[in-house]
Amino acid sequence: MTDPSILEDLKAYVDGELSPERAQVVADAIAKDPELKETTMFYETLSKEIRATGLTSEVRGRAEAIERIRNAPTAFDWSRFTRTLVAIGVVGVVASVMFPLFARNSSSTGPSADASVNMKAAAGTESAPSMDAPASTDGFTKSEGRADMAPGATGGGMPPALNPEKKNGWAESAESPSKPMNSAPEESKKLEAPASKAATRQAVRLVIRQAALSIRVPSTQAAVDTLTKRTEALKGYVAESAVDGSPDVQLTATMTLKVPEAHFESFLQEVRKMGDVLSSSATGNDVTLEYTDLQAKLKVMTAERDSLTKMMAERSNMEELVSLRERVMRLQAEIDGLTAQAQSLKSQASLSTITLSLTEPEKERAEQVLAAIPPQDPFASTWSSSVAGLTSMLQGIGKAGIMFVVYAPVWLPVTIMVWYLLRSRRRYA
Amino acid sequence: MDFEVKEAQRGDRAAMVRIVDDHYDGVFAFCARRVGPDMASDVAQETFITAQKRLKTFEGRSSFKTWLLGIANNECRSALRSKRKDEVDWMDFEPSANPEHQLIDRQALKDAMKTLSKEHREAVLLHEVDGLTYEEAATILGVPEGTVKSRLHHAFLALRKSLQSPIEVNP
Repeated sequence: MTDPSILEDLKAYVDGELSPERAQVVADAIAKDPELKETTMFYETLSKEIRATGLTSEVRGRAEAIERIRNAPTAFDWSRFTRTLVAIGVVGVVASVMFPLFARNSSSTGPSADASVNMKAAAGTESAPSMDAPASTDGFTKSEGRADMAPGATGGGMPPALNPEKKNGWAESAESPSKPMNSAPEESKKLEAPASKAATRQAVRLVIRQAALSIRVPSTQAAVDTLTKRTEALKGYVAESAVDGSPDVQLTATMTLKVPEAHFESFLQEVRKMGDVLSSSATGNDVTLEYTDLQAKLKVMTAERDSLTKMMAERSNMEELVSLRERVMRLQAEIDGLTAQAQSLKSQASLSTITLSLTEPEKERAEQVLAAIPPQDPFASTWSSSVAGLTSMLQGIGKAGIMFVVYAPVWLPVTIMVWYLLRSRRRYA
Repeated sequence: MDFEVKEAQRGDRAAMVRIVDDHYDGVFAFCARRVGPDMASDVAQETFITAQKRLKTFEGRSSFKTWLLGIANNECRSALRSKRKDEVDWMDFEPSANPEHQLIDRQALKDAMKTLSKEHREAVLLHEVDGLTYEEAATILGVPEGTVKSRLHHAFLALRKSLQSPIEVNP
C-alpha cells in the first residue's frame, strides 16, 4: 500500500520542490513501487504536454510601453505625503494640547504674576516688603502709622486713674493694652484663627486694606455667582454688584466685596485663579495712630465726664449744677462722636474691600477682528486669514487625532473585521 | 535588489525603461495567457505604469520578477472585470503542432483542464506554463507555499482521473 504522504509529495518531487532528504525518501518509495513510478512518469508527461499547450504569441506593445514610461508624469510620492501628513497631525495634536498649557503658564508668570507680587507686598505677607516700613512701599500704601507706635505703648502711658470703665465695647482694649486693639467678637476670632502671621501682625495694628482687580473670566455670570457664594462663606458680604452687557455678546460686571481681613490674601489668590488678571492694585491704609489718638481722647474725656458727674453729686448750688450739667452733656456728645469714629475705623480694618471688574471674552471676536482688517492691505489680510486658517486646520487635525485615538475601541474592531472579510474574499477570489 | 531597480526607485527614468525592456516579454506572455493576446499589450503597459508608481514600495522581499507578475496578475483581473470577460482559455490559441509527438491527446487534456476548479487551474497555469516556482506562485496568489503544492497535487490527481490513466506513449 502506497504511503499517502508519498503520493501527496509526488508532484512536488517531479517539480524538484522537495528538500533533498524528502526527495530521497520519495525516490526510494518510487523505486520500490511500480505504481508510483508509473504515476511519476504520467506527471512528467502531463507537465510537458501542458507546457506545450501554453500560449506563445507574438510580443506586441513593447515600444509603446517604453514610450509611456518615458512620458509618464512623475509619480506622486504618496508615502512621503502620508508621512508628512502624519507628522503635521502629530505636531497639530501636540500643539493643540501644549498651547493652552503654555498660554496658561505664560499668563501666570507674566504681568499677573508681577501683580501678584505687588498684591502680596500690599497685603503685608512674609515675602512682601514689611509693613514695618510702609513708606518704602510707595505707590500703593498710604501709611499713617509706624511699627513702633503699638497701641500698647500709648495705652500703657495713660495714668491709671484715667482708665475708663468698660463702656461702648471698644474701651475693653484700652483696659488691657496687651490685647489686640481690633480684637473682634468670638465669631470673628474663629475665622481669624487659621490666619497665622498676617493675623498676628493685624492684632497689633489697624490697617484698612483695599484691592482692585480687573479680570477676564470665561463666564462673567458664573464668576459673579461663585464670588458671591465664596464671600458669604467667609462671613463677608457683597457691598455692590452690577452686571452689564448682553449675554449673547459680552457680559461685564463690577463687584465690591467685603471680606474679613484675615482672609484677604487667600481670597485674592482665589480670585486671581478665576481668570486672566488684566490689572490689579492694592492699598493698605494704616490707621493705628489715628485710632490710638481717638482712644486716648476718649479716655481723657470719659475721665473728665466722670469727674464732673461726681462733682455734680457733691454740689447743691443750682447755677453750678446747671453749668456742670452743660459741660457733662457737651463731653458726652464729644465722647459719642469719637466712639463712632473709632468703631468705624475698627470696622473698616476688620473687613477688607475688594473691588472687581469682571469681563468675559467677546463672542465672535475673531470674526470681528478679521472683518476689521483694512481692505487696502491685501497682503496683511491674506497673511492673517492664512495664519487663522492654518491654526484652525491644525486644531482640527489635533482634535481629529485625539478623537481618532479616543474612539479606537469603536472603529478598530470594525476595521479589523472589514479588513479580515475583504482579505478572505480576496483570497477566495 | 537589482541595481536597475534601485536606480529606478531613486527616480532614474532610464533605469525604469531598461526594466521594461528586460521584463516586457515575460509580462506580455503572462498577460496574454490570462486576458488574450489582443488585450495583453494594454494590460502589460498598465502593469509597468503601475509598477513605476509603486516602485518605492518594493522592498526586495520577493524577486522583482515575482513582484512585477503580481501586479500583472491584478491588472489582468481588473481588465477582465472591466471588460466583463471570463477567464481566457489559454490552451485555445496554440494549434497542435505535431500530433505524432503528442503524448496525451490535447483535446482530452483541454477538456480535463476545464473540469478543474479555478484555483487549481490558476496554480497549474502559474507553475507549469508560466514556469514559476511554488514560492513565486504562492507570492503572486497571496497564499502559503503549501497551498500551491496541495492545489497542484489535487489538480494533477484530477487530471489523471479525467484522462483515465492510460498514457499513450509514442514509441
